[in-house]
Amino acid sequence: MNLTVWGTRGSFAAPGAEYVGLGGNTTCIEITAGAGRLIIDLGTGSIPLAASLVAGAHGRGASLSILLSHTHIDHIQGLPFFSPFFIAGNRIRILGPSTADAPLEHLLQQYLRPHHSPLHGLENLAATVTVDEVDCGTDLTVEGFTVRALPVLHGHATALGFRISDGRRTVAIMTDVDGHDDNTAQLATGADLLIHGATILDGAQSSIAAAIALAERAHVPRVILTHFAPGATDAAILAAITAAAATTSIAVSAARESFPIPL
Amino acid sequence: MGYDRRMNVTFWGVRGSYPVPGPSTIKTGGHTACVEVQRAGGRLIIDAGTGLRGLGKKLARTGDAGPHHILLSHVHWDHIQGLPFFEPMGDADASVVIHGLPVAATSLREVIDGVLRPTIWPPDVGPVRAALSFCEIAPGQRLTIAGFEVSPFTLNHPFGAMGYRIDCGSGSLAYVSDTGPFCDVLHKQHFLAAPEPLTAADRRTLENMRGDVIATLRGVHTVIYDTHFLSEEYARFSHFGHSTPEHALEICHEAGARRLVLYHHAPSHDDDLMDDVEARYRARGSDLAIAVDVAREGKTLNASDSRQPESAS
Repeated sequence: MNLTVWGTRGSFAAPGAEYVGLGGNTTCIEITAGAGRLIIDLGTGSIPLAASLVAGAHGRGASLSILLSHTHIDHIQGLPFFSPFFIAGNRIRILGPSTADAPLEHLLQQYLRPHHSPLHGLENLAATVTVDEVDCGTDLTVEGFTVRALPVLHGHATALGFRISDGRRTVAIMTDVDGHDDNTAQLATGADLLIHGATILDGAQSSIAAAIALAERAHVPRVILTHFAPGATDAAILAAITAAAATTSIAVSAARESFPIPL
Repeated sequence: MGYDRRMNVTFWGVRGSYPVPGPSTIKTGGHTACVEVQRAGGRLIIDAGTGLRGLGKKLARTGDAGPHHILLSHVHWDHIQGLPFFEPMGDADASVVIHGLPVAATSLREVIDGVLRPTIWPPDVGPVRAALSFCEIAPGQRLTIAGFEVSPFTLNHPFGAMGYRIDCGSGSLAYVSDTGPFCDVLHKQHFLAAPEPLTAADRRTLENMRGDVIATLRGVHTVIYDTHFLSEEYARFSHFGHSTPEHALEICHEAGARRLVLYHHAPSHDDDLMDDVEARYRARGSDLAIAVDVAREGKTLNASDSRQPESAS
């Protein structure tokens, strides 16, 4: 299994010299194993990923599955610019959360509505696109992976965390999580890697400390942090992670945009 | 009197479509559309792309409660995404006035302060505490906003967009973004998968629009123009509603403008390409007596006519 974080920022993209080491694109993660591929979230990081996909099979017509953790803008900002949507013959399935607000497909349509996007709606994409709300808590088979999704605490929004396995390795992914509960424990328990958001770098609310505590409880040997705040510089992030890593035997590091992570 | 009549323009975001972080955009900038126009004692903000976040931080530091006047060209995401992250929006003592086309107002309210707010904006976007108001304006009006004379005019862009001429003292500026050229495609309010053939009525509409733009820009000092595409790119995407530096130079030349600022750069146009573009179009501009600059984030230009006295004292 290989994993690449294409967007390491939460909330808002961070152009500028202070952010080029870890990256300034909003969130997107790619997981590959054999011929299988999963994409998690469509922040601006999905746009450079899209270019590599269209250079291959998705330039001619192929299937693709995208998991959306939720519809905050930093997770869907790349949707109107994700080039596989503009290739006829591509079959793209979007799987995301059910919310009390509105059906997922309706929320994505609202993002593309004519006032705000010249695409006017999902129906104008050349690819065949289906949008499904994920059945939480059951093991689904998607592109050869076993995927379990569960809602995690994230303000007053429903955000999904994921547990993804290729049969040999398992990764738990929770980029937007404000606290830990039975669901995050279930997603993480026994995983080989925890990908965790790091919006807050230090203090009592530190996301890094919360990630390490979860990994220790759930027996996860390795943590990679991502989804950094837009104002957090490379230097500040690396200093906070180095300090936190010294307190644990778990391997803790920062995601770097577009660098492959073998698992 | 010591009255400073200059008008300065600062670029907070210069990109079109979406923000582009990374090592290849550091010199030009990666944030989307946002321009600050200043005179002594007054400020206008044009467009609220991701560049607006940085401007909001500056205003919050200086404790300026406004009213902050924001003119919107239109409400495509790359022109409004910074609004919820504009720090004065969370300040109960501040006021923010958004000026734009009526067609946009309802939709913008839903996104900024309405039903769509919790599903789109992440939790670090706090509640709107500022006094927020929407002011519907239309092409052809002559307005005075924050001490500037503002003349909105119609542009050629999907679902409608407005440009602005802004005059104050010896300063004059036009903001012409987003727009396609006034020839190949007439943008209306339906989806375009490809360029549609023009009817005779469409051609007349485009000719009139072009005539109005040139009449409004007549004699203006500085023109900020949507030059998203290079000409070879435009040939493939003429229905996207963006122009090239050639289109911009033609309009500036006919209007007698002094300076053209290339703006709304395509995300794929990196720093090296923008340096090439600047050199190429500076040479073409000099043949027409038009100074040409590439809009770069963080840079400030003076948009005042130096042939007139800088100060009335």
